[in-house]
Amino acid sequence: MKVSVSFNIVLAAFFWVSGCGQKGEELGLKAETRSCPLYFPSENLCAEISWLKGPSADSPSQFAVFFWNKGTGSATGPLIDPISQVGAFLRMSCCGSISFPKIEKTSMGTYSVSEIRFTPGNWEVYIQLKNGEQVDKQFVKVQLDD
Amino acid sequence: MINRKLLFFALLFHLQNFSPAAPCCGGTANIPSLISGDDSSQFTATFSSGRTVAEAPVDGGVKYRKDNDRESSQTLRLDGAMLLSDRTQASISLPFIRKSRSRGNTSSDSMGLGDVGLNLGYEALPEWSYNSWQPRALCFVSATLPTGRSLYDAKELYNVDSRGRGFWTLSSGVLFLKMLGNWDFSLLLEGHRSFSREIENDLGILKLIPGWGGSGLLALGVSPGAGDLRLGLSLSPSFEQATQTEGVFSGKGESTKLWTAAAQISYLVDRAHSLSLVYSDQLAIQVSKNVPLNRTLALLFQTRWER
Repeated sequence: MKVSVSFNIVLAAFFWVSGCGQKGEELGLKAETRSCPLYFPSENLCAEISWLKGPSADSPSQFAVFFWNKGTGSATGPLIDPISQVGAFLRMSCCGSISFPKIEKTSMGTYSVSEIRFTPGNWEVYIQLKNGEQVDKQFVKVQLDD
Repeated sequence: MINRKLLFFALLFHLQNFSPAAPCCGGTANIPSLISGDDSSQFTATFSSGRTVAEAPVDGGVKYRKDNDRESSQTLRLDGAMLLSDRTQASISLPFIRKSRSRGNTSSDSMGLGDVGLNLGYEALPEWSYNSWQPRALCFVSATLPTGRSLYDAKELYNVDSRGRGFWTLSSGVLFLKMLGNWDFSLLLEGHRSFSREIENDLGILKLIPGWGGSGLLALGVSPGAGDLRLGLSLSPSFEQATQTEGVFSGKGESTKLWTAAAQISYLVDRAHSLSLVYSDQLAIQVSKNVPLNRTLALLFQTRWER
């Protein structure tokens, strides 16, 4: 009887410890994603997009994208300009159609992406850094109800 | 003796079945307007009005649009054909398309030229005298010009200004026709290949590589009492390989599959003129994939000039 109770305690402790460890890892990952939503290893930069209009399938959407150095900044600053050329494009996940919105620099480390025309469905919004032949791109998923 | 009346009717049917069914994504090849019988030239005007009532998702099935989501298109297609020699003919097809879509309080519409078609036809198996089994066969080669703006070039909300596929396309096919009494039977087989194109901007070069496509038509009709009226039914499948992309984004889209069923009533006004009303439904056979599904009503008028 004593052996059985002790075994149960050990088992419970094992699951508690292992479960707790997993949660810790998940939290760590989430914190990492929050602090660096889009990572561009070519320049060790992080980026985040902030929707100014939309995202919507029923009107043109617009967002701002902010860049900062990983480890020394955040979306609130200090922001820096990438050395590479910044670009953006949209891809419809279901069928692969690609479109190119308008992109322009608005201030240090901040770019405005406008004239985005979604249709209902699932989309991938890509941000690209291009320096000669070197291309680094990351995307954000957008789901629009139909 | 060949029943020329039935031939006119049967060929009218093919014209409607291959007008652009899904201008945004799938669609079919541009099948030419072909001259039958002893005419030197012919002109056909087709007005069609269609509504997108559902989508066929990539993984199949049918997803109906919400009540407040109304997408429609009206097309005026003008086809002119003329004989170049006894058995050879050339034709041109000009579609003018208006597309509109409204969702709730927002709407968008656009109008313009669709993809123009240039065609050459050859009567491979003429039917100069009656034969109980041999069908009449018309071969054709077509070029589709990317004159209608494609999905990749669309700028308007809901992509209503996308009226074409955006690729140069070369098609080839054959149409078999057989009359048996008051009945007519048709089989059309067509294959096409679209050619790659590049879009260049600050991001680099996006190369679009379309694939092969094909379409078919199986139709039958009856002219009660061999009169001036014809009733017809048809079924036409079409298939398009996925478009690959290279450069800015390397990937592959999804192939499309579309089945259209149609019913038709035609009336031969006189020797030189005929009218036809066609109802086509892309939900009747629910095996389509990765295309919008339309219901369309079309009115055709054809006039012919004898040799």
